[in-house]
Amino acid sequence: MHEMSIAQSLLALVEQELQLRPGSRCTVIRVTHGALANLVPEAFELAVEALTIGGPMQGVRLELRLLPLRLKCRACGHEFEPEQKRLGPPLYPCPQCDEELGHTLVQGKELFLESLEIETD
Amino acid sequence: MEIPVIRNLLEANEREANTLRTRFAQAGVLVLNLISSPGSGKTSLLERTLTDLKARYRMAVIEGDCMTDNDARRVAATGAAAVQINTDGGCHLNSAMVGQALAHLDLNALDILFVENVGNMVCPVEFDVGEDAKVAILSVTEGDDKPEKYPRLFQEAKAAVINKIDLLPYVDFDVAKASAQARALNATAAILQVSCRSGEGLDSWYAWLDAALAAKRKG
Repeated sequence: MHEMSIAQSLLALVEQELQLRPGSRCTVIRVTHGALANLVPEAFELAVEALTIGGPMQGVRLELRLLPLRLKCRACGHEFEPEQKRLGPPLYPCPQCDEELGHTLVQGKELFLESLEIETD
Repeated sequence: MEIPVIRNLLEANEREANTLRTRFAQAGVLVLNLISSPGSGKTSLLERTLTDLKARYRMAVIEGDCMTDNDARRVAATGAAAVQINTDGGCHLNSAMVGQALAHLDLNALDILFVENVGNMVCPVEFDVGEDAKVAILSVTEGDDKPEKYPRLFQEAKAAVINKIDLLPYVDFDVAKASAQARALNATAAILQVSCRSGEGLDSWYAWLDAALAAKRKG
């Protein structure tokens, strides 16, 4: 359900950007989300659709880009992108030295509006 | 025409959270965001803590629930100040809600402020409310694979409290397995085993609170 609050924040940001460019219309919204941002694409698309029906942004297309999880090994400092596991214990052995514990998260929690496609009258 | 923007979708929430964090720092209050599934014993842990540490610390609670003020009344019965937030179906607290609740509390008269989030292990993790630390609570009547199922909570929480350990003889919960999963996700978090019913292990939770407050005061 938090997709609805995130969609509201997103549309508020888009409106701010459009106000800076009078007479423009947004046709595509590009959002980048990390693998750990817990964003469910289907729920997010539905929320954006529901919030734009009947308004100036009705029919806007949402393009989502997923950033994979990226970790830095505690033991050897090697950076790697483990396969996101659905099954099994949450252990991500370093491909260089096999260390499983204590890695630092380098990428995966991002959630941002990346760009807009706009048309101007 | 493409317009690059690059703006954090949660920036409004994070801006307000940073404002709250500054206020908490000025008042020297330790703020803990308690996150768990419904029924794991967040309110019970608070009732015990507020009662047992009454002489040691000045404490208050912000209670988040979809509906009712049942939890705020339970907490208030211990004598601590409690403010209820009803999210009317919303699945998490955000920084604006916590900011509004602060109007009912005197931060300068507090040592520890507990924020009891809506029972949910997903969204509350994403919405910073200006806390010093998130605390994950897990009870032994749940699955022992919760850390694996909800990794981000256990990655971010500075303490994981395993509650209801008095029931271990009657359930199949494997403490070693749950602890190992939590440890794999976060090498430094405290993993504490407690029973709010028998009181077993609560000393370890109180010692963790002592250390967290001391660290906060030291800056």
